[in-house]
Amino acid sequence: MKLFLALFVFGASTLAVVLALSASGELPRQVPAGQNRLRMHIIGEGSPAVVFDCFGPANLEIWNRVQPEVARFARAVAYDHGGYWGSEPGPKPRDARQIARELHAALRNANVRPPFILVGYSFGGPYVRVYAGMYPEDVAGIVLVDPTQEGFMTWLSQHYPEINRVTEKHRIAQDELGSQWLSLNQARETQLPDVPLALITGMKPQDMLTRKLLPRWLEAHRNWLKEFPRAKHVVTTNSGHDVVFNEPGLVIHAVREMADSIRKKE
Amino acid sequence: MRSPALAIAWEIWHRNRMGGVASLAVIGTAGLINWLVRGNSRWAGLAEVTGYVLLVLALFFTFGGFHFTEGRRKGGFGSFPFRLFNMPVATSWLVAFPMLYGSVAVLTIYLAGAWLIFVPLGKALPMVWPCLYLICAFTQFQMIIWSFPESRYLKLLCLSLAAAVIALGWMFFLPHIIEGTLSELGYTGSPALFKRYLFIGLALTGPAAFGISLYRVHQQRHGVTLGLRHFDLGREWISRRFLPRSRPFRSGTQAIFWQEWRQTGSILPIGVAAILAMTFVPTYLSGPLTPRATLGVLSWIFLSPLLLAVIIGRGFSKPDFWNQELNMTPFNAIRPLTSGQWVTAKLKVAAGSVLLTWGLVLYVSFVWTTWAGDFEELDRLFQQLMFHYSAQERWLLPVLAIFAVLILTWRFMVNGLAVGLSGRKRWYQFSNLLTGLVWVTLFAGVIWRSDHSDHNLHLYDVWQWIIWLPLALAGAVIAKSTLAAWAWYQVDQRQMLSRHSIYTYFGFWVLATGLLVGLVVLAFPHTVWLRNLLILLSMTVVPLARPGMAMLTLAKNRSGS
Repeated sequence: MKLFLALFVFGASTLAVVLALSASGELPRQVPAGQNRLRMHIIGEGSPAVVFDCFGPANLEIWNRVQPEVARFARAVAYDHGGYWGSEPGPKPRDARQIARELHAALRNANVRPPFILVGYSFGGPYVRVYAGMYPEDVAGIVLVDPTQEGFMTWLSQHYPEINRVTEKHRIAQDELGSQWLSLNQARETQLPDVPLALITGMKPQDMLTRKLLPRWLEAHRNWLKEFPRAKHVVTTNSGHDVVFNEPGLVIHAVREMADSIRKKE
Repeated sequence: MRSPALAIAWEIWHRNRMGGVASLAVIGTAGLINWLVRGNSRWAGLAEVTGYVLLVLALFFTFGGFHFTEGRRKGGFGSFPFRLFNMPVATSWLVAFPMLYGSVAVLTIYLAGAWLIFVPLGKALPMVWPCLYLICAFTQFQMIIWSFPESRYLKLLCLSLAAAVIALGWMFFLPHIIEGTLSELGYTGSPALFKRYLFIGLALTGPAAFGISLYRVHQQRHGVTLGLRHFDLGREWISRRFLPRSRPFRSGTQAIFWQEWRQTGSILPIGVAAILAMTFVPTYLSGPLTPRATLGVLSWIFLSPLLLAVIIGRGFSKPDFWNQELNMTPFNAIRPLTSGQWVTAKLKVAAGSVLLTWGLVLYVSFVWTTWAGDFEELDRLFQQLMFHYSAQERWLLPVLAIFAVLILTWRFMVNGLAVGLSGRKRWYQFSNLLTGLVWVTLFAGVIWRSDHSDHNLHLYDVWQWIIWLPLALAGAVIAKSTLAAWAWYQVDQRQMLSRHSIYTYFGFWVLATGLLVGLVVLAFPHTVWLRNLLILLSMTVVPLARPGMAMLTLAKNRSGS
């Protein structure tokens, strides 16, 4: 009995310590970003570093099917926007430019050196475009994953105003949702640097509404890409807007391809 | 004493003076701290939640202090203190004085809390409806504890239902609940009119409670009993009819299991069945429910066994559920059974009770949802699951979740055995206070966060603490396994349980913990830090040290040391 109990205590304690150390190592840390601190998860080594971005209410954990794989060949950074999840609130309005300023400061303070491949998912698309316009010297490539496109949003607000999620409360709070049109206009005005660009469009309908909207979504992406003839456009019918969860391999492949081409150039 | 009013006041004060002074002191101290940190936004949220927790605990304690009864049968579940019947005072005064004192006490606590704790934070608590509500709740409480001396089950049932109604009823005074939730439940009238009805209802319940109490206490004073004992007899009849026992017991263990089962096995299922009936019948009769209301009702139903298990578990942990005395009676203490066998019987009874309860909940919920519910919101949840999980995972997750709630409910039932069976009243009271504190804090925290809806996505203010969680949990696992090893070694040395039974319990622990870990791994396959944290938490959930400790403390209790 003594041996059994001693072995049990040893086994349980060892397992607990291993799990705790592993959890501690993987826990994202708060990094100063000017007036606030952003929760960042930085793993892997290798240049160019890959920075993942999305809309504020989505936390950095949405990248956890992609980020560990990318970390095998590059430094991979995911973070929470100021005011959400583990990141402290920052100055308002929470538009794309303010988000970019905070990200820029946080990356510098976390000692993540450029060049970066920016990966923007959903509304993270306009955000990384604005970042690339503000800090062109930092950016080596852009991957847009089913990005929100300003032309489509304008069309949507005219034809389906009921879908609008922005309330007066958001507008007064000047949070990311309340500042979304400001961010979209900033993205529209942005001149992108001449860097490799890839765009993934998810075309699998998830309900009746997306079945109606998807042709417009694809059209908006194609129209926007006309300005960038060298850009790569990947259309998948196996996923909808859930492409990051459903087909992480597609995103990983696009990032890997871009990283390889940038390294070759270097 | 110069008057009966003073005599009663003195008796209540004498019994609870330490607690009363402590409650006011805690509120005063919290008020002082809030006054010192006023204007500091970093502490305001924490101070507000702590304020609510302390206020609710002080109110709980005040209610408990006015549990003004005298045990006529098996300790505390008694009637109006019958020795007071000898006083040369009209029954109406005997009833009125404690009700009046109690109402004044709860109002004093509330007003002191509102003024001392919340005014420094710049928060003005409402005055009129909470005061009326507290008086109403208190008079109902007094009415129930005085009115059913004949049936302990009926009293427990009424107290549980009243507690559930009181704990949730106050929300219907909040403007956003009146305007939002009521319309979802099918109410089409004006919110102002609804509030007026509520006030009329509150104003009437106090006198009604006094009238009923007066009638019942008057009957007790004149030796009249009602046929309410039939409620207990009915339960006995059901037990005899459906769980007959005609053969002799094969062993002492089987006999003690049977005794424990007859005594406490049906309390949780009966309590949950009452909640099911109180929830499903009115919602079924009120017509079609909205999708959100369906989800709300189902959430409440799935939560109720867990909450009831926390409350019933406090009584279950004692040697006798119905007795306030914690010492083992000599009759039970000398039974030819080891303490290990006794605790094992209790663990098995709790498991049976939990299985029966959840079987009932799942079956009735399924039938009710099919007949009266709206699947839209459930479908939306399923769609969200589709976003993250494969088809197999989507089916496996609910199955594992059911195992998880079974394990959690069982844990809450048996959690306090080591303390409850020790026979030490101070330990038991402290453990109850601690449990109450944890649950009230949790409840207040959830309400506070849902009131500040944008805070649902905020972790930045607690992130610096989350970073320490892995180490804290690892420490807890190491401490737990070490204590468990010590306790079970003692159990083995004293031959309280066979080695086979000890190994079997460890096997059960590994299996139950494995099921929880399986759920965690399936739900969070990619977020390593969260997955590992939850695995560590799972390792602390299923009791391992406590059953061994319970056997040791029970042995001490039986020997009278």
